[in-house]
Amino acid sequence: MSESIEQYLDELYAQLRTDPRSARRLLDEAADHLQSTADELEAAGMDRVAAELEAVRRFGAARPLVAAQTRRTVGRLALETGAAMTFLGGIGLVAIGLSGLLAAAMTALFGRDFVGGGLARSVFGGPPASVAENAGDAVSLRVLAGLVGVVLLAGVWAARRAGLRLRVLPVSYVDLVALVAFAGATVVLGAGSVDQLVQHAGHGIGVFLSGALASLAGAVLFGIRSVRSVLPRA
Amino acid sequence: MASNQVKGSLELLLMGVLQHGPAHGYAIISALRERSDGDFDLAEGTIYPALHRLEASGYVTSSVALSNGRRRRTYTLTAPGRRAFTTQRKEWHGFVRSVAAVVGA
Repeated sequence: MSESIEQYLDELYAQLRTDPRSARRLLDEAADHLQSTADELEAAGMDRVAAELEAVRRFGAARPLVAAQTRRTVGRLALETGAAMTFLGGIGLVAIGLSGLLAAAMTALFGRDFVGGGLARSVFGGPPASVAENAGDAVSLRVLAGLVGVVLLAGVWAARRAGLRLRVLPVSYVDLVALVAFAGATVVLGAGSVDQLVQHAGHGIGVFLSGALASLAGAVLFGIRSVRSVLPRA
Repeated sequence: MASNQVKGSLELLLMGVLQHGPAHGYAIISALRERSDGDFDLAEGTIYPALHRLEASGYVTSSVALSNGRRRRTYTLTAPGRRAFTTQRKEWHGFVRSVAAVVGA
């Protein structure tokens, strides 16, 4: 096989973003078709290099072929973006729910002031009822958000079971967006924790620290997924 | 013939070739060219996504065999494919008659 057919198949391979079996099938068929055309043209008297160039020309450009094979459309992109946003929103809400559980654990371990003391002390002078209300809200509202997240993720799971797969939007993009969002939240909430420690002697630090830890867990999870998507596993 | 007219009827044309018997992609495109006296000059690769769609619809099946050391996939029209072809061919002839009646023969 000369370079023209090889280069065409490389280009086709690089552009194909579909399931492995469909990709292999199209590449197999393209290779067989191009070779058959080149063989026929060579048998008719054309030299091999010219025959392969002509075979590639007749076969057509790779881009429209890939578009027809994978049915990439703006509507499909919008559908997959919606599904990805629902997935990311669900994951984010579950992380908020997790931070609520962490806040509950912190309240149990270190007392209500550790979680609810910051705002209540700075605004209201720290009446015990405000501290308790803040600590309670930090748990209940976040856990409620987490439950909404679970419902959203269940919807995404059901859509996948029904056959919705990411064909246009690369999965690695979705993981990368989640990694950046969680890493950013970890930095912001971590800074809030430090600020609470320095400015308020640690009162209410749990509000930020619980969020920072949940965000960190998300960043680690999506960091691993992102690395695995670009580096092959041994 | 304008390529978009061919593309719009590509699946009907592919079934039209396969009604005569199983064939692989290269043979199908050769048959299309021969039977149209070279009028159907479309990018040859475009038949494969159309064949895959026909297979997904259950109108054709395919099998792979080695030929001259290369994997070659052969397509066969199924019974539902034959029925779909008959229906679509009838609709096509009706459409052609109607267009001819309007624009003149």
